[in-house]
Amino acid sequence: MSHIHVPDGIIALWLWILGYILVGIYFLVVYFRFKQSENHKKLAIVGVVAALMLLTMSIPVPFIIPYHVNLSSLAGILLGPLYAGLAIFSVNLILALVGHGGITVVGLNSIILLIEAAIAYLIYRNLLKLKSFSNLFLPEYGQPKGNIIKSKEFSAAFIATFVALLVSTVLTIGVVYAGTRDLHNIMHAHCCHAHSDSVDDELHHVIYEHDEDFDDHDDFDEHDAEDFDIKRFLTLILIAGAFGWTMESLATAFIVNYINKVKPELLSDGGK
Amino acid sequence: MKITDIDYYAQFGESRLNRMPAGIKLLAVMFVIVTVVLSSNLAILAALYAALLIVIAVSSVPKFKIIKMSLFPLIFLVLFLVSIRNISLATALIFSLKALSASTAFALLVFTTSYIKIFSALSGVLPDFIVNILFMTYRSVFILAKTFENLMDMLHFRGLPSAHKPLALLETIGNLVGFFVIKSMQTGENMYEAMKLRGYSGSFAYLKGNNGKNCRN
Repeated sequence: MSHIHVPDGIIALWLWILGYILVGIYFLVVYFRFKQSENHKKLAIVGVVAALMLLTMSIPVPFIIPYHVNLSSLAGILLGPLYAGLAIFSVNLILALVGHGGITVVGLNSIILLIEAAIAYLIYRNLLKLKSFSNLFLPEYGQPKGNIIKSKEFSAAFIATFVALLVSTVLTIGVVYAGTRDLHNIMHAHCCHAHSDSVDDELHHVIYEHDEDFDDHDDFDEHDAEDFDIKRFLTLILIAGAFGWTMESLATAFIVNYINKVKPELLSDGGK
Repeated sequence: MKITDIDYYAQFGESRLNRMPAGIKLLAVMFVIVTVVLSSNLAILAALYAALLIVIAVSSVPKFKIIKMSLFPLIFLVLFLVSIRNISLATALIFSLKALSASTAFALLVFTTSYIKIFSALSGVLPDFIVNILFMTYRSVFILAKTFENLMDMLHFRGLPSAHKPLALLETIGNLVGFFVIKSMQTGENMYEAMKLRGYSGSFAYLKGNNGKNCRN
């Protein structure tokens, strides 16, 4: 749910360029860390995790709305935030090439999902370190209680993923709002870069020729202006998000639970 | 549509677009993106989209598949357009044409150019280690696709729990993906060992040396 699926040409120019600048800074940080470690094996694993993310996106989750899992939080838990960002960028770029979100928003998407992975990693690690958290899910006889709560790893992964998705969805909404809140000016700003004033007037006419309220500029009514309605967008996203966060968190928790039973060392290697 | 299927058309397609150098096609896509980003003129955007449709119509590319893939962003565009107060038909058309032009250009690119050639062209812009990861992601998709298909077949034959039991359904999917994660990590380690034995030391000469020209072999 935390993905910006907005196509190209909608988000404001300054914002998506800022996204790419932030990704560039992230690449610099990774580059210097990578130069110190020269851990090429980790890069191969990053490639595999990225492929895993791409392939699992095609597993249909039959529910009220069509949904697919997005394993950014799991990538954070498995790889640590530093390397998870590389897998996330790789996935976003390949998805943009097949029309799943615009190429201009790859930078912003990568930063948001990197934050999601980092939050999931930090919460998961810190919850497991908390003794009181362990006691909560592993009572005196050392067995998990209830059917749903499988283990402390299950609960930690669920909470970590849910919080990470919540934060990243809020960030996504903020980014879409910041990039589109002044739609009228965005369309004008874009046109003025490319055309002369006369063309600009013509464009304005073309844009609003179907809307009688805009025929006379003197009678321009602010209430009739085309504007991005953040409340409406927020309602739509939060309704869809309520399903998405719960489904994704449960799916990630079940995955972590399975890995913890079969190959727990994969979960303890994250970030190393 | 699966990446493996798209790659098949990119590798074995016989159209003129398939034979055109990747650099030229990337420049053409860049031109489309710059136009989409900077222009809000309905006539220009309509002409751009029409030109892309003409290219599809006159080329021997999988027309229906390309157009079907290019319509994908409309699903998300609807969510965005519904959120705009007092939206006019012209504005909706402008945004739709922007989305369609960009996605059609990319669909044409990926259906006629293998990912290796695209990554190879990108190696001039992106850092080496990023291009390496893109390449390894691409390779891993094909290596893991077989395992993934077997898992999906298994899921199909055994049957997924009913959607009325969402927890059981998610547990089944979670266990399946969990197994796939473990298998993938082992495959990744094996892949790295194989690469090391073949002389891998941090960069793929293949991507830099011949601009991906031998990717059919």
